[in-house]
Amino acid sequence: MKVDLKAWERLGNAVAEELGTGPDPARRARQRQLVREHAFAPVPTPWRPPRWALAMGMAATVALVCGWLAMRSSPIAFSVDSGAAPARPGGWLLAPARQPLAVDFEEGTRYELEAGTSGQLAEASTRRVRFVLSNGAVSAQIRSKGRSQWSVEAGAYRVVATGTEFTVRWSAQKAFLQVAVTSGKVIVEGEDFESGLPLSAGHELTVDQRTRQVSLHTIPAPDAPAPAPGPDLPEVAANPDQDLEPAPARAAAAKTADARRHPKLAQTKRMDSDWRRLCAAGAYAEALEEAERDGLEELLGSASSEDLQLLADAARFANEGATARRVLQAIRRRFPGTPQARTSTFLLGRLHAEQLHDPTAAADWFSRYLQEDPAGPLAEEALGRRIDACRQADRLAEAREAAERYLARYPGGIFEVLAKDAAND
Amino acid sequence: MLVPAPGCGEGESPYSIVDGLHRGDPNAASALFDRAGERVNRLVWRMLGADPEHDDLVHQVFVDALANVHKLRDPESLDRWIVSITLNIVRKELRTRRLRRLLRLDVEDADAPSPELDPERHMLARRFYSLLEQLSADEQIAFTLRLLEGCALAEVAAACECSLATAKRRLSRALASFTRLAQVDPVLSCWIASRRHEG
Repeated sequence: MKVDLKAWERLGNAVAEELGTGPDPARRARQRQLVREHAFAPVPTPWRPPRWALAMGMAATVALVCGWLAMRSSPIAFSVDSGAAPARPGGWLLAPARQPLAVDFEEGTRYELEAGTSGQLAEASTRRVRFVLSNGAVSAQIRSKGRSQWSVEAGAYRVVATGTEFTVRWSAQKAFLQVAVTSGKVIVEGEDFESGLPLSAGHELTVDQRTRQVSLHTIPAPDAPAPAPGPDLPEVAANPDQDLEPAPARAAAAKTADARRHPKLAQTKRMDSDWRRLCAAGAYAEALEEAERDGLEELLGSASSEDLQLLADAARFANEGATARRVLQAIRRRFPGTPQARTSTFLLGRLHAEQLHDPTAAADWFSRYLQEDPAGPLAEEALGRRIDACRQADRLAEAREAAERYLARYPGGIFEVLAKDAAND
Repeated sequence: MLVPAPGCGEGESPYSIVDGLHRGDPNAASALFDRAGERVNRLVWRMLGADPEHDDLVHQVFVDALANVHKLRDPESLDRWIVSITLNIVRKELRTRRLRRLLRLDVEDADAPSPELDPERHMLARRFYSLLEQLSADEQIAFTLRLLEGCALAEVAAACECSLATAKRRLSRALASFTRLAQVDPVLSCWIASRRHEG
């Protein structure tokens, strides 16, 4: 694609127009106030150490860096099932269907995988031990002397701990996370907890991505008296997929139990679906993958027209023409006669012209748009693009006819040059 | 125009502002902001694409200006001097971000603050900046001054404090790199293709 400076200047104008010239007046007023307030604040003179201190400092730094490098990636020893199973860093671990599997690390730390649990010990070094939980539950008893960072990753979440005992339960199928801390403290990181959510002993966090519920409960201490019957925390089940269900009874129990909302959770606004968030961030290919993981057919049949438009844009921008076509056709099918449907007709024309390289279909879609919305906002562009598509498809007579219509209706229009060319073919 | 012609600037004269700043008068700081604030905001806003750290960077421009006003010999060149400080701050920021990206220390920000007046143009602007950040800091600045601010080559050279030949070289490299990147970008290549018939 050869592009001249004029084309980039037009792009620059479009971007500049979209951006505007700066923040709103309220922000500028605040900037002005801050400039005035800090205008002549004294700047502290930096202290400079004597040369001998600098030399010693450098030597100490070099020694520290060398020591750090030496320690950085030393492997940490561990055994699986008391040595009965192979222990390989990076290897997958699968607990048998009816019994747990223990991973014992040096210094006495233990990870116990519940029956049927699967995951990967992605890293096991003196710097960090990372366990990626695919499905099931893992209980950890950390006896670290602070050398390693111990973490369990589950879906989009990460639980980080030192010197603690906790259980992480994750159901990939149900998109349900449960973190219960029996001793010490962990930090839960993930897209819902931007700066990390601390969880201390006696607390349990649950995240249900399907119903978009996030809640925090207290759990009784191990040596506390047996809880009174009633709406207490449900028991942890052996088979995560079958029993880790955010059933209505469980949800009701959670509400009436001693549930305390952490300030960070108190917002409980609806979480945006991942694919929408990825769209907003411009990660179109990833958004599409996420939407497909959610179930594209279901989305096509149940999502709102706005969501489908967003999905169609993501597919177009990710160059997934076939998916974009499906989504645009779903909009037309489910919302006939609406402005969104008519825009989809136009976009199907562009899609076939620009990505699917089918000028015949493109010409037909533009023609259909002009029938559906002859005075619509995209009519001029549809007619202009139809001229181009007809020429590409070697339908020269149709191109001429469209060109003559264009020149009559839109003198001086953006496709005038093209139309004049086509009229003379 | 990046810098107004002498005598055409807004508000107080540069002489009284500089004189007030030498005397440590806070009103002079406000007057400096009134004179240069819009220009600084616009430059930072467009160089970095309505960045979340915009206000901090604008503030830094004025902090640097106030700290170094004693080095300004000719008050007539106040406006050009502020532009130069602004571009230096932006350049430093772009280089730091590039290094953070190389070292994978950067965290991608999910939301751009600019409003979604037109979803397709919003996407266009986002793609524009995501490609722009793959250029060097000097190329980004030259490219943005030329394309978004509409500066002539001589203005770009003056603002970047380099020779005309250097400015031309940076711009050529920026154009070549950006064109190459845009060819494989679906949003920008579609946009260009859809406008190839415009004269």
